[in-house]
Amino acid sequence: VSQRRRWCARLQEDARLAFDDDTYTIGETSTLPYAVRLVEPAEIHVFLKLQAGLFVAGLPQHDTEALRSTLHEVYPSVEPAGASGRPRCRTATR
Amino acid sequence: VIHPAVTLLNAGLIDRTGGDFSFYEEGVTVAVGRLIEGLDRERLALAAALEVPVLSEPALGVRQGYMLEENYSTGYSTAPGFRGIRAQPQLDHRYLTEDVGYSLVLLTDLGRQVGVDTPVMDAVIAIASVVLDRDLRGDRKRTMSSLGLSDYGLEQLRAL
Repeated sequence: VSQRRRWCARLQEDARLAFDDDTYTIGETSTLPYAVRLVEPAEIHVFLKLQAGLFVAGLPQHDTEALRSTLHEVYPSVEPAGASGRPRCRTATR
Repeated sequence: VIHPAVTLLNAGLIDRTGGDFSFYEEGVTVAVGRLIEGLDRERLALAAALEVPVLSEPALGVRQGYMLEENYSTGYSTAPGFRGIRAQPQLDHRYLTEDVGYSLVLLTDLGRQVGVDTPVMDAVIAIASVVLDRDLRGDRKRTMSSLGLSDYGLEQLRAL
């Protein structure tokens, strides 16, 4: 079992997912899609909707493109972070 | 790298006025921009070591639409996208507790693991800890170890 697989396994363990559970894709964007601040309870002020430079990364890198294409429907500014095409968590075993 | 630099160099003002000033327009002077740059250079060095393509903060700010000028000295104070954003009401706020306690602490931990020096980040963590009277590094909110990555070498981190 590679280090990468062990790390995926740990992540899935913390998320209370079975190690062979491929239901969820794990990822994160580099920042908020909007520059926004709370003005008062239940009221926000949007300073900017990002035009570009909203990066998304999947873990492992292989999932980045799937995340990008899903988010792109709502946030056209989303871009892939780094390269992709690595093995996936689904192969993780104990 | 932006929030902690601006917060620490405006700590007296935040304390005295409860954050009654514009965080970017008034808070980021040329000198404050130099601290942002010092932190950003270390972030970029970490990214280079990991072979991850990362833009400088001003380049990113321009690309995202926040900023018009791609520089640390006047780019933030003149940025249309930051206009009107006020400072935080007190120093005990996510700009330090999270951006130092989680982000910078993790980045310096990563630097130690892969052999990239981060003296400016270390200084900001130390001063933020004194200002907040809290050991932000000692709290270990997010570290290579807490992520399960403390045994990873540079090549293994690049492959994730």
